[in-house]
Amino acid sequence: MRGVVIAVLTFLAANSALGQDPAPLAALAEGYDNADAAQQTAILRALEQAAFAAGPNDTEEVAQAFVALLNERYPEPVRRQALDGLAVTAGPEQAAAMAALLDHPSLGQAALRALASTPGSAVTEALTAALDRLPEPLIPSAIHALGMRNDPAAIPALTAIAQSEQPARWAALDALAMLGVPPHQVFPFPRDASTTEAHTYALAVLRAAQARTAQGDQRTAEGLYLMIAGSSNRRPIIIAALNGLADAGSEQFVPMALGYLHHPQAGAAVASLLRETAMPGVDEKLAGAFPSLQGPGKAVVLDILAARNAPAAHEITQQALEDADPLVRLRAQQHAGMTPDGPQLLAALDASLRQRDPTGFAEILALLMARAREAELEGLDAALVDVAGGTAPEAFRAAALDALAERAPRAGVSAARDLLDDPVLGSPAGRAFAAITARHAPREQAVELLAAMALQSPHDDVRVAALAHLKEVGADPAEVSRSGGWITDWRMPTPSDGDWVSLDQWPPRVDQTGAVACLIAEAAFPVILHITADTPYRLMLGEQTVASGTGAGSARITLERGENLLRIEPAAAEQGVVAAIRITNREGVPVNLNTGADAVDGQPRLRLLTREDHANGD
Amino acid sequence: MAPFDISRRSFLGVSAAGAVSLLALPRPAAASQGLVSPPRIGFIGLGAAGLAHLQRLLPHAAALCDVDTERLAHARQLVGRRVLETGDYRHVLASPDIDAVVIATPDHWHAYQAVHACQAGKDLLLETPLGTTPGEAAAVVDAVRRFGRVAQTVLWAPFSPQPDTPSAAPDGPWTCWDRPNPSGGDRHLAAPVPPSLDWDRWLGPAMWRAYNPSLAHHYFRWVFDLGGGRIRQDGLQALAVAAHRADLALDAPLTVTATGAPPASGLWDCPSDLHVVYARNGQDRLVWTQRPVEWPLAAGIKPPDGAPDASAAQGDADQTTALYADWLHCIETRETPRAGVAQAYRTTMLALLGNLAWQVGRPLTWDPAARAFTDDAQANRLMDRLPRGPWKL
Repeated sequence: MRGVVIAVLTFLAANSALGQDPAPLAALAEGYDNADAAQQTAILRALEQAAFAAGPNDTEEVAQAFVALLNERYPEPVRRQALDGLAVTAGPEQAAAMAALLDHPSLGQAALRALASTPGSAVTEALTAALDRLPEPLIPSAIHALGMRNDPAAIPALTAIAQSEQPARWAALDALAMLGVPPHQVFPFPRDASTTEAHTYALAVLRAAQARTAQGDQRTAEGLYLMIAGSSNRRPIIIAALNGLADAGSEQFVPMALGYLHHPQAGAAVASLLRETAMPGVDEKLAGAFPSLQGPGKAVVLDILAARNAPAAHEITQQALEDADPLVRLRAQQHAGMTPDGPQLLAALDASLRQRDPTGFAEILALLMARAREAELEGLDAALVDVAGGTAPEAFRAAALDALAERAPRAGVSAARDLLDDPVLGSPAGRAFAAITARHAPREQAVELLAAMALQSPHDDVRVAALAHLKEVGADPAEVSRSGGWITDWRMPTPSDGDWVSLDQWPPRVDQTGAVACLIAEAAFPVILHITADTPYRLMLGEQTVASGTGAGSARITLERGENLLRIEPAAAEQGVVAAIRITNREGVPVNLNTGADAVDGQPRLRLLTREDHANGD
Repeated sequence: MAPFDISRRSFLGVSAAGAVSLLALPRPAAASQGLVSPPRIGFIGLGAAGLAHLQRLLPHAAALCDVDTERLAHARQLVGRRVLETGDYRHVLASPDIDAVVIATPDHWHAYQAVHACQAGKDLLLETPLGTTPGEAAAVVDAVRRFGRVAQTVLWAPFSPQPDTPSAAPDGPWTCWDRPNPSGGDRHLAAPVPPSLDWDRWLGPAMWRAYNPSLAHHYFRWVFDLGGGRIRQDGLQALAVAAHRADLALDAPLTVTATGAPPASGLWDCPSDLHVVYARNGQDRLVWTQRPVEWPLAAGIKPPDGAPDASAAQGDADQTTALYADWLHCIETRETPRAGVAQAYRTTMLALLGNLAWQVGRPLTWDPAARAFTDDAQANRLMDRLPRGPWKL
């Protein structure tokens, strides 16, 4: 047998005109079952090469040879390879043979793929006729194939599915769109549509418009783009619809795009689209629309005209220098190469706030901050405090708080403090409050507040900022933390010498190897351990589990004289745990864990073995 | 209230509520144009490449996605805080809390996840190639443009310290090379699907096949219809640099001729010594070769009249930093990134054309205006591939 196969393969290698004599394919297939693994691989590769050997246009004979190999007397790998060969050789004459395998449990998908790439309306007929008997997993793919084939003969069958209650109706809607049938011609948008269904519907409108463009029906395409641009509030859909209008050369493109310039999610992308479109007449339309726009719109259009090097840019800029809106004047000054002064910038900041123009606000605030870094700028801090503590949308207030965190004016303390618990603004407020505290609070109070923030803020950035500020005021963050009872020094055993968790990575994340802390008590000491963890944990004292669970918990334990080993580990082996632990006496008063620090009245001294102790061999 | 008094509930207490808040996921201020919060990024695909991206963009991580729960767990350790975790990338795309995604999945997923990300309004950083067929690659380019997304691809060439200008009038073709494709893999290796792996979702739009450790995770690269061999993997970087230096744009018909012998046995079926010649107007412009050469083993390029350079195609630390910085900058400004999909399309197409020419066993002429092969209906049937199941572009 091996000799036969090798002989055939030698023949195949030597004879690139295999397609003219496909008989060896059957001989190869016959030998598959008795061949060893290497020979089987060679046989399948020879079949694969045979599909292309006859050249691009003369595939009829080899396709017929592949059809013969679909017979069930051949092994399945051979039949699968024959289907792959048919995918690049078959014509309508082979459609029935391929379609007969569509409901085969393991060859159905290969048959579908082969059919999908075969030209001819006979294939469309075979596919639509098979839809009723296809295994469930193949149905969406078969429907998609009918869309990809671009044969209008599939429209009635697809419409019937789309108008039914079958799960595949949305796939059919999409396939119809590929053929240029917009979804509203199939069924109206369902009021109870899920988010996913609504997205599918909108994408189908876009797809149908694309198909109509490809079919040369620009008018219908433009109507579809206008419809979806006017009815969707989803950023990607709006942008795609505007792109479609630009591609279609629609007169409505510029007016529609200007209407979306300040859409909260789409505005920046729309401005970018206006800057970059090569559609003729855009410059003139933008210049013509300029006088009727509101302030923020004027500012953006000035930028767009300048970026496009539009002939009208200079004239419009000169007009804008006299505009009533300070924001527009500012932008015009920038384009004219002039430098606005502080009061002008503050007026423009106020205008952008009133007009709820986040782009302008951010840009002007950046200019003001840059100016203030060079010289004192009167009125800036008051403006920032007003915005942070006011009623503007959160994004504006967050930006003002960010600026306050940099400038740290005493006047900002109340605004920042009052927002510390705010779920959205707590982070910038925390950073601002930490900065102001470090600069203006009495040192002792500043240390206490900053330590609390460093260890207990829910915001990573606030914890990092507070640690930095603690150092600024001359405090040792670790020492301050330990004095408040926080167990800050954990060691994670490793084959080398162990990794120590530092405050920079607070709260510590512990993997399945666990982490150990060592408390050295002067005498037996009843305490409470307060634990917070994000996933199930187990806390052990020596070999004994003293607490477990998740979220917040506590354990009342008695530390023995001498060394007490605390060990925290995740309860589930595959999970890590983020945990923070604090120690108090039984009355809830934090225990000072610093070496040699004064003991709380009447209580034994307790200290935490630190990284430094360990390094010193303690 | 005195200026620096704050409620004990906020910071100083150890109440249950206060303690839990320590570990709560903070909600950032809403992003809005102009007042841009740092982008919140979802990482789709957490193998070696995905983890490398995650490490570089760690502060931005807001979602992790992989079809292998072991990989998810590993990434979770790296992130060290609570983020969205899922095995289904559609959950990441549906989340309004995600601004952008990094796609580092096997090649057969690239185009699908990239197009769906664009449709969902997410910006993206995408591993190359753009897709496994010319149709898929074109769909990505089209989606990025139509949906107005900022899409960076992982190509080092645009961040090269070399002058960013093509060579003037080269006399002869530029050459790029890589090692031969390996042979191996056992077609008949039967093994249970690892409990951590969702095999059906790993395959996604690709043709169904039984799980085989010789395919996943890493080895799909050596299977022709999944990974396509080195020309579509690391060698792609060399191809990108050489094509740029040779000024070989896809703006006119290109004739591609490929030769190479497939491995004699095993599951991996990419030709070990693929050799591709790209010619325009009868003149050879670029050569890709995996034939044994006397040059260094790592992928590299060689100018027509110069010495081989194995460093040109390797991204160094500076290029890596520049690539991420450029992407983040462009997300904010909505500019087009330097390694945008246009650059990746050219490189992807050169790799795909080389493989297709080898597959059909004859020269192919690619007409970029028609986005089709000239006078070869059979090759044009390889332009698109019907995806499996519910997946579609």
